[in-house]
Amino acid sequence: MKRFTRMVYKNPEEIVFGRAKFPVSQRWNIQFGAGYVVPEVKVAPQEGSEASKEKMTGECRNIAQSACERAVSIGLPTFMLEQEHVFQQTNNPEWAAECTQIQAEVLESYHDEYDIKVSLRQTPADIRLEERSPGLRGSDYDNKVEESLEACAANGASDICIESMGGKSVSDYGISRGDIKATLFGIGVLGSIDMEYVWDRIVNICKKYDCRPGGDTDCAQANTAMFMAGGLLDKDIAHTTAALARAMGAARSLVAVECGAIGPLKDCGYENPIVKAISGVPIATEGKNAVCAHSDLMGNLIAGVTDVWSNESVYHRQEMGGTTPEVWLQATGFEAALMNTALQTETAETLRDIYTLTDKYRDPQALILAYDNAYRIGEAIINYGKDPYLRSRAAALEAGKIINEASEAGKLYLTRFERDSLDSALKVLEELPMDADQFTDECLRIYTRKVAEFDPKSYEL
Amino acid sequence: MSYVEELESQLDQNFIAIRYNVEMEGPAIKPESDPDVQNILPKEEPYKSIATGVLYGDMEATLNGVKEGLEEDLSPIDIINNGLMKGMDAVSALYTKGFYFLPDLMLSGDSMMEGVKECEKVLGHKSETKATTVSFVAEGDPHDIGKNLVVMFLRANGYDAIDLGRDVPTEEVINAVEEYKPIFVTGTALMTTTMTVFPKVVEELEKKGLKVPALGCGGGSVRKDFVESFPMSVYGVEAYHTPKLADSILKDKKTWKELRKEYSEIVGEFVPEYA
Amino acid sequence: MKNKFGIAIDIGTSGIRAQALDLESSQVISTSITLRHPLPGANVVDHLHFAIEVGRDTAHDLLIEAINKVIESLNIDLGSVDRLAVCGNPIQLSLFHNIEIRDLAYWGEHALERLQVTPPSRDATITLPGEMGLKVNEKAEIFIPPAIKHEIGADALAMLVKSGVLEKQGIYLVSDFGTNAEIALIIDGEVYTCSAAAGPAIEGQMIEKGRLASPGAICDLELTDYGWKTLILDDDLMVRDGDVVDASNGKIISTSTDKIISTGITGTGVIAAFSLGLNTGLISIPKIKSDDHRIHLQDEIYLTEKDIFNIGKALGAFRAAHLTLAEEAGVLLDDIDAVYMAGASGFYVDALKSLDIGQIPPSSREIYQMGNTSLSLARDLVLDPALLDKLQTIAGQMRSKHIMLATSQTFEKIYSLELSLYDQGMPFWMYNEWLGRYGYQKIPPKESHPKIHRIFERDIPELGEEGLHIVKVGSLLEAEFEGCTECLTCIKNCPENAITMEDGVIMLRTDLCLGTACQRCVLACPEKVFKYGEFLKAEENNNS
Repeated sequence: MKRFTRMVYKNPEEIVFGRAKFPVSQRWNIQFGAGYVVPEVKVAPQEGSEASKEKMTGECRNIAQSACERAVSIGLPTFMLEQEHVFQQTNNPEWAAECTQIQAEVLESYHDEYDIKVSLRQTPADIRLEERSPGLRGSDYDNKVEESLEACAANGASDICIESMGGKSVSDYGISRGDIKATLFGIGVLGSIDMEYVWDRIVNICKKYDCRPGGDTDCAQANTAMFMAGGLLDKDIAHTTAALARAMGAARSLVAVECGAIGPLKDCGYENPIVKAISGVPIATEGKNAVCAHSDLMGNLIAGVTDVWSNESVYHRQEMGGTTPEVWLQATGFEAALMNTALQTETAETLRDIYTLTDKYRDPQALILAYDNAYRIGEAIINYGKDPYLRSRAAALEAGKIINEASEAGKLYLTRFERDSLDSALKVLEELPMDADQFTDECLRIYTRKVAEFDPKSYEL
Repeated sequence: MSYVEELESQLDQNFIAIRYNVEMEGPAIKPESDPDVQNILPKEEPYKSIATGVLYGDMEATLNGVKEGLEEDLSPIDIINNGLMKGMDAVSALYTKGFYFLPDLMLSGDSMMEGVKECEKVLGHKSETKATTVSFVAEGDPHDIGKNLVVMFLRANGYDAIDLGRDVPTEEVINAVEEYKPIFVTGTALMTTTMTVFPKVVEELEKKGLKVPALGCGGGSVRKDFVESFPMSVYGVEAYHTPKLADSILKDKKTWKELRKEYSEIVGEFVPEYA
Repeated sequence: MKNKFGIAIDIGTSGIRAQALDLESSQVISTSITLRHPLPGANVVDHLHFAIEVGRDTAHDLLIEAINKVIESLNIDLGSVDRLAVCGNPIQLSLFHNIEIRDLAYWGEHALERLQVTPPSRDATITLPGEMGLKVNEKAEIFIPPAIKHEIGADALAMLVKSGVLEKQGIYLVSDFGTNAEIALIIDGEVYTCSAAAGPAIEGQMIEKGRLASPGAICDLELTDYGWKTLILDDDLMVRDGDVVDASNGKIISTSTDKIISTGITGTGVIAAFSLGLNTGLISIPKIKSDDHRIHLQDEIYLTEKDIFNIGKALGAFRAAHLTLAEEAGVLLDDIDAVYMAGASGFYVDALKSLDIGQIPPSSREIYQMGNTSLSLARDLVLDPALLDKLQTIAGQMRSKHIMLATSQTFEKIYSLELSLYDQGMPFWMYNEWLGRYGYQKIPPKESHPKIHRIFERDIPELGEEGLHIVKVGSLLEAEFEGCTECLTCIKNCPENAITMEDGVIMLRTDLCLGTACQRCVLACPEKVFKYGEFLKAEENNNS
């Protein structure tokens, strides 16, 4: 298997939104990372629509229809529609097939009529349950995920993605208890192992169809840390600790690319700027136009090097300005227009820098994702590129170093809680063994006992 | 030129993002960077590293600094006053601000005392202190956490606090008072069975004509009304009040009656027990 | 043929509990308890101090008088009693047995040397009612179980034996949460013990509206969507639903169908309030964030910030004791296989809340709430006399080490962290950092799915067909003081309403009086004529 041991970008200045080293082309004449930013809209089906297949397909059609209608009525040259599956869609692959097909038909009709560049992304839900035998691999749920992925690919999805959950049992334990070792084991080791399993499969499916393997996100782990960290005044877990989890998540999400995912990487992967710096694939990100879904502390910064600008998710309903697919596509569409104007006028780097500086010193989690810092974490990862454990550890240590430097320079002051959490986490990380097997053995001993849901068999350990 | 130099340097963060958590709690700067500590810490070496060693409760660094100073033929008195005590002053400042807690004080206090011992070896006698005090735990009582804190606070404030330990017979207390001529005696007890020794100690002191204020301190059962039920004694509420009481005895010649009356004023804060 | 009876007695710091047993059928017939100890004082050291001040015999007599009252109320023919067994801590058993107590009153050698005290044997003994002054069949035998060592009493032996951990491989923590908590850590049969002076707050005493586990006491609280629901003990000590209230102002949100009135709050109730307060943000140590800085429960029962601080210090003593034991024994709290909670407080407390606030280690996976093991061992002894020798053998062979917390450097360091936490508001993560700096283990993370085993419905599992009697104990002592101006200052200063006055005669209820530890009546007297000792002289005159 391919592992990244060199940076595709030679220096961070080269990385900017709308341009990727390895652009992606899809049907309906759309490209990603090819000099323009694509706005994305994603809308969750109304509650109740999961009651029957008919309701669900109707719902999906309406979402696609609304989005297309608004796109042409405000003059968007391009957009991506993503459908993230609810449980029933994935658990019934024929639902996945029909929903995809109906959305593809809507998009194609608009493409045919207006020549608008469109993309349909389908993201089946990772409904596998580690705590239920036989675990993550080979269970009925696992098979349903595979069948649904294939159903999407076969029925008109431009690309397929997933938010895989491998390692979540242990990382949740680590994140909620401030046990950085468990966090590292859950994300860096278990997460990376499961990614290989999931992504080899997706890439193989995509080979059979005109469908691209998109990307994964560490939503289940690093985003859990980010949400628990909350706002500036929340103290459930330190924002410095959440920043370390994010850096680890980059080493883990990179595995999808190493397995053959080509991007754009999935929108809620806040670690994507790091993965882009290493691998050169286009990425989707979300920030200030995803406030309908959640609050983050890097709403502009995360746009700095994006290729697809997303709203994350919103329920399908009526707002004053229209239905949610209309409203939120308009929001992401106008932001993309701003970025595209900058690209056209050769001021993209300036806009990127302004985006970055609005949030760089808002929070440690934002700081480490500023493109120059993301690049540094990327370098730390490729230095140990062949070893998933060591590279996620290195990523976290580098993130800690970046925070410490900013703090010493007086640019980002930390509270005592953030400071001490960071210091103790870094101390633990520094003292960890340099041998992956030794680390894995130690962790298996501890966490099989402590985390009831954790099942080493799910990772072939 | 990267954006960091070009753009970042022009920014006033206050117009962009304010870290209210840091605004509310204060930044986690190193203790030595605290502005008050900066004012207290000496600027010149080796005093600076000695004081910093005490500030961090780092015994090895403190002793290394002290030894270095002694090798350079600096006066042991100067090392104590300009190095060790300055470090302790800085610790007290952070404690008052709520940045340091009891364990910080204990660790720093230990480093300071070891440093003083090292200086006294060269000096050949005990170093000069503000005054001497005597502390004991009542006979039959092992609970000495309170007494240890009192001794630590006194030493940190430049007093020679004689520590008689725990389970101290009355006779031994009287002998110590005769020998050391302290400005006051502190007694602590946690158990109701042992606190009854306090009036006996006072009685014995009076018999010998030793007029020293006695500070009665202690846990659950020792109360103000009990302590004030016999003469010469003053009820101590918090261990950190002790040096202030000591200062007022030393400088303002306060009597035990005045201490009882002006307790809150002397320690400079509202004390519910004396309200 | 007449039935033969046995009586099991537990003398606790907070009261006496006794059960009558039918020796033929081994059935419990009746149960009687007192809600106070007959000697003045809020903790066992107060009892000890009182006994030393007034003389051992007087204290012994007061205790026996109370026990006689209790066993009389058992409603059996006391002439047909064959066996009694008495269990409790060494101080209570020594007071009962009327043997030397001063060795338990002072630590170190100086006081004992000066007083020429020789510690007595506290081995298993059989004595007779006549010698003790108990009014039962004079040929009955009284069984007193052995202490394990000087510092570890029969009460500790009871909880160890009843938990069954002595024969098991593994690491176990066994504690009796009383005013003075007995805590034992057992590692493959090797026992490390300590006793933590948690303070009376844990039993609801020294809490403004606090009281012992008794009818009408709030013993637990539940968080509902609308407010805090009180759980109250009824006349049979069963837990009943009380009202749901808004804890920040006491407004009743819904009234209970049981219409039960609360008269006070137990230590476990305070612990529940502490836990809910922390979880809901109503408490931010050391402050209560309501308008009047109080937590309000039904029927105008409330808690103050001082109450919270007192309970905090008690819980701090437990946590520091657990850590000290684990450090001394060289094990991790995280590796403890099961936790056993003995005693009424350890029974009525919601174990999940105990885990939340540090009364038991947060990593506890298996939690057993055993109830009153002291009474239960006494019951076993009454039914099986041969057990007495077995207990002596167990006590003699036990590999045990007692850790004196007051002299332990480890405890001193950790307890100073607890004080920083509860008194100065040191954040908890900093507490953990400090443990690390000292080279100690950190507080383990919280177990997400602890298993709680509570086998019975009450701390005393079976009350018998005659049910529960609550016996009022304590004597009314009288005294007259020359020079008394009847200004009533003593009465006003008494925190327990133990003093009354009629025609210049002052009357003192020993069961309510806090004893020699308090003495507010004596200290407050403006004429300095209130002499506590006068009451006891009067008592002696009555007896003679």
